[in-house]
Amino acid sequence: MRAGFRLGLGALLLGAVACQEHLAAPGECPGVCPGGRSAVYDTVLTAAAGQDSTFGPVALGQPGYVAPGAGSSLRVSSGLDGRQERAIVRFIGLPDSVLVNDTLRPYTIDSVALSVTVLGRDPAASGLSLELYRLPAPGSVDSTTSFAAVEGALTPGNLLATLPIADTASTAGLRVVFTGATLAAIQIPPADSGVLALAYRLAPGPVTGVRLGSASSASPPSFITYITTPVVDTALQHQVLPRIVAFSSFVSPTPQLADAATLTSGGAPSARALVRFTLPPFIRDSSTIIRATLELTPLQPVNGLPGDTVAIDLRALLSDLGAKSPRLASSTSQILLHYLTVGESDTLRIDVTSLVTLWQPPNKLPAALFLALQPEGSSFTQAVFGSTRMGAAPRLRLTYVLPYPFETP
Amino acid sequence: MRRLLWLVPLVGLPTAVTAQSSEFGTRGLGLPGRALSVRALGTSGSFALFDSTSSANPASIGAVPALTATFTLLQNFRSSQAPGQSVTGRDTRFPQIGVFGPVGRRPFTVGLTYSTYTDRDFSVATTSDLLLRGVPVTSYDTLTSRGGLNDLRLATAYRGLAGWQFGIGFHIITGSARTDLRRSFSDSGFTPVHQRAEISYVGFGLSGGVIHAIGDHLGIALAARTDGTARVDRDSTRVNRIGLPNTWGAALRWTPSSRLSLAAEGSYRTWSEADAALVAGGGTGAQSTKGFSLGGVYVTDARRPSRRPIRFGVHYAQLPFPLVAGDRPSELGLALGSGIHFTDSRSHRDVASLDLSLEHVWRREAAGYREQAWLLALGVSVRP
Repeated sequence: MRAGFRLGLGALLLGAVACQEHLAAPGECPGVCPGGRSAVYDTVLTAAAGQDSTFGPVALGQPGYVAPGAGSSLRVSSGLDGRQERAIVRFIGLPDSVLVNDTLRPYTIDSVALSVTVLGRDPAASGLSLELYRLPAPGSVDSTTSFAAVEGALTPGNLLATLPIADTASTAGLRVVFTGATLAAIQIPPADSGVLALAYRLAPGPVTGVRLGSASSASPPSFITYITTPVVDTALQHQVLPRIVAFSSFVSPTPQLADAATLTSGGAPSARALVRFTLPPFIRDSSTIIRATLELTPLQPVNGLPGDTVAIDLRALLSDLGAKSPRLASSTSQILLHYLTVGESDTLRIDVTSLVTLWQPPNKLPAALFLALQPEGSSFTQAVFGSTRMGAAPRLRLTYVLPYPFETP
Repeated sequence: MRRLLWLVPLVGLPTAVTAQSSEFGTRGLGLPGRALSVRALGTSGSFALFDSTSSANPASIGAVPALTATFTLLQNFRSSQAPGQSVTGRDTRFPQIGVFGPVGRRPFTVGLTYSTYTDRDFSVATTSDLLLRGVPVTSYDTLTSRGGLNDLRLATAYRGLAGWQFGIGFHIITGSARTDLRRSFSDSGFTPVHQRAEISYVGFGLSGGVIHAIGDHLGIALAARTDGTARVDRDSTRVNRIGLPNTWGAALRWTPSSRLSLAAEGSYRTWSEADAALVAGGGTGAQSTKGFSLGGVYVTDARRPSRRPIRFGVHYAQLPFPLVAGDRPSELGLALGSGIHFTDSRSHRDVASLDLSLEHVWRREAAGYREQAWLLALGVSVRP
């Protein structure tokens, strides 16, 4: 049995080494590369002729995707890009009594604080000040309020304060407090039903603009009233009445329209551009797209506020329904942002691989991209690119790999 | 506007890395399996046509005296060379499993075997420099294949008078290769590529053989097999039909003494049947092959021949699928083996056996491809 024992031992050893595997041998092509090499191809697709469009305010009276004031900021400018803009804000009404210990009680105003936040400014512009005006007939301040009506109300008599903007601040909170003798300036007449409306204008100075926080931003304008109520409990005597923004917008004497012959994104009301491509079936169905670059040629240098953060927002479409196409935004990877620099005029080359691959199975989304501008309806920038009708048409540069020719014996 | 970007590799990097049972198995249908038991492997295959637990000759199972199950494990240690590079590797295979047994007291035996027909296990990694969008980019490619073709044989043999054995076998040739390409680029702006395909095969074959003992000292064996064509599907889509070889084999056994048996075997396989389909599928083609082996068994204990016999042999075989079209790869092997039988003390019947073989194989092809491998095999036979 000794031989059997030895053989058994050998078998055990063999079994032990058999559990390990190290697949190694030289790989040298083309000798040991069955099927050959996987070729990489490059192609450039021009946008489908006549299928690229700008939607939004392409004619007077047409709405945009985001109306002025509905975005995250309010534009105030004095000659920037040849435009004049004033921001207007209406707060909800101030009550004439407050509920304290289950009883409505009158109150006296101790002080009032108004504040607004500067979200964007030209860092090169110095000596800026923001003028704060009170608007008459505040209850009628709404989306129909015209620039002329606002401008007519910006009189010295309605000027509440002039708030300097520190040259060193890129963003700044501006606040003014009315108390004592200055309270009279902010007193709301009974005819206004407690409603306060304000207008903001840049004080005469350099040609520039600022973006102020709007009602939908994280830093909206505020109107806070500090009051005293006639109650014995000293802890309840002093109260605060904050009023939120009921309406905010900005007005301009000249509407910001988009040229339908171009591909325009941005502005207020905002425009968006839809670019469609015809993807060859063999690329769409069979290839692996390893890089896709969208090339957009500006028709004019990017305008706007120098130093401001503005980005082209590119998304795929869930369904191609033209102007009302639902954009895909189920994950951040499906929203591409390409930041713009004011003044740049070079062709934009944007990596859109993650969107273009959605055009392929299994998603098979429409071969189109929607271009918007962020922050939408809020920035001074209106990006204008060539289309298939004007200037250089958008191009999509694709680098792809066809199915590997696995040797099929 | 469509342009092929990598037409001009900037630098021919001497790359490569991993790979498989053999670098000579990356082409065509892979490295042909030998469908031999460990006992036959110990003689380099020279006794294969006589060996009842190998799949080379259906007539050989006629010698199985009782129900027998066999299992083979093969460990491969190898060193492979390609032009400008070399690597080592190892892997494990289970190339031969079988169950055989006589049909009652009749002179018939049936057997079912499962053996490796071809082995398409490999993984090849390469790097190359490409010019993508006018910029040099290094591409890292790994091509992996797992699987191969297997041969499932149902055979029956008739043990006739005067030392004749006849056998026929029906073969189902089936299997798949799961192929996988992964490619990444030094420039992360290019998305990595991952492509997969499952290539499956199915075919049928028939085999027949005869063994005749001439006196006490001589034996001859003849075998023939035809495998028709195999259907090739890629991801369930028919992509090819490939011819499989016809095989002819002949062997002579000579037993000059009670302690020594010698055998010589030769075979011819018409792998060129596969050539047209392989070339059409982008391969390097196939060539018919010849193989020869010579070996012997020396019995160390004449009273108990199954106790520690010494098996030895040498074989030479051409390989059907060249790495470079037109080349003729081949292999030469030297083998040594032994084994032990376990006998039931009451019935004096063999109940199990354990066989070992060690073979050193040299493979080569003119284009600079070389490979040396140690093949360590363990075979277990059980007679319940």
